[in-house]
Amino acid sequence: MSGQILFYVVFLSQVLLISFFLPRQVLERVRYVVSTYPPSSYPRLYPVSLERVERAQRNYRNMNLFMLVLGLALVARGFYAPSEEMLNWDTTSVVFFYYLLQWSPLLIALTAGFTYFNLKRKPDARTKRRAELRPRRLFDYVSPALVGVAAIVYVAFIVFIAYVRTFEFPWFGGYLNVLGITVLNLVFAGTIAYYMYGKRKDPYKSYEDRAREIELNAKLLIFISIAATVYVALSICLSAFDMRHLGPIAQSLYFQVISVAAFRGFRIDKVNFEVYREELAAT
Amino acid sequence: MEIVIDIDGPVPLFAQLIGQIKEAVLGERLRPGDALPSIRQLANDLNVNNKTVAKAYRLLERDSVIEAKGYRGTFVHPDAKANSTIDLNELVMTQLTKTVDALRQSGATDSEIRIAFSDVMNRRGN
Repeated sequence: MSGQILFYVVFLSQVLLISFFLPRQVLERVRYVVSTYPPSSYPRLYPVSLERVERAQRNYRNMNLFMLVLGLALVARGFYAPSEEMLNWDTTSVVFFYYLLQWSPLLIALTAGFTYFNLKRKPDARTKRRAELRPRRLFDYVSPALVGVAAIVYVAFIVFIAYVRTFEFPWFGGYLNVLGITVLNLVFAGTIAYYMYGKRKDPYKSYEDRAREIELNAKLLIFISIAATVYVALSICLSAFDMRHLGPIAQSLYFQVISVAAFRGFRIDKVNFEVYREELAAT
Repeated sequence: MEIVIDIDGPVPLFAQLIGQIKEAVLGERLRPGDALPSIRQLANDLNVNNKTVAKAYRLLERDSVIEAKGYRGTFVHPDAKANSTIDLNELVMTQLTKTVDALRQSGATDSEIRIAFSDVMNRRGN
């Protein structure tokens, strides 16, 4: 019973962190940008009308409110009508799918962001194009030590799986775990390469802001790779020692850690918004 | 160091890239051994076709202003500064002008010169 209470406390923390606290931070940042860098002085920052921006904010806030209420309802059900597995299904699956739902408002906003960037590119009538004549290398943005740690964790994970395979216990996917982590790492590597060498989403962004964006995303993805590998290894250990009931707690904590990491790195005060002023149109 | 191209200018984009890189070498803003961005990176940053940057890099490599070292990347050639002063296009114009003048003096008509030039170029291509 105490295990269930612990789980619901941790899950409540996930609900409040990802569907209340972090979205509030996002909305505060948007309000700060709109009030400090208004359309009248920074027209290039607003390829869509301010009303559309405000409507998007309202939709984002309402979606997160819905996820918050849903999460609180799950917690309330757990306390007042407890069952062995959440919703009489599988707690791990419920936590996972709820986490995906929690991120859906931000993913929808990010998808709208791609349209926003395309709209930003269209009115760019400047005939002069600039680029730095300097190659971008991974270690310009991420320390070799961090990449080294990620590599060591990955290799150690493969060795760990090879060792664990010598024992028999249920719920163990064997080398499928290695395949999953490898695919994840390849996707992350491709994403980092896209940030470094892909087309510029925002034609007005300064070199420094782009470098900061690459650094932030590269570090975040490497951190998530390490965290995911450690989490999968931990899950396997919990299964091996017949402590699967702690799995959902570890899972919820893992989701909270990577969510905080994703939000923490972005500093709005360091962005150069002067590139979005109208008078730069002459260049 | 920044490179700036004018997409509406009269000079072809690849020629602008070549000119600016040579100027940078002559002005010592680029030194022997300095690394250059990959074709893909530069093309995406300037929002131009990969082939434009590839052509510029090919011609710079032909003139020994840069050297490609496979997966390690592209670097400024050790003798780039000396090689940047050679303008191959100007050399071609000078030699052709001398040759055409000599042929005219020998009595060949412009039409005969054009046909012969075309034959020679086609033969070299085969």
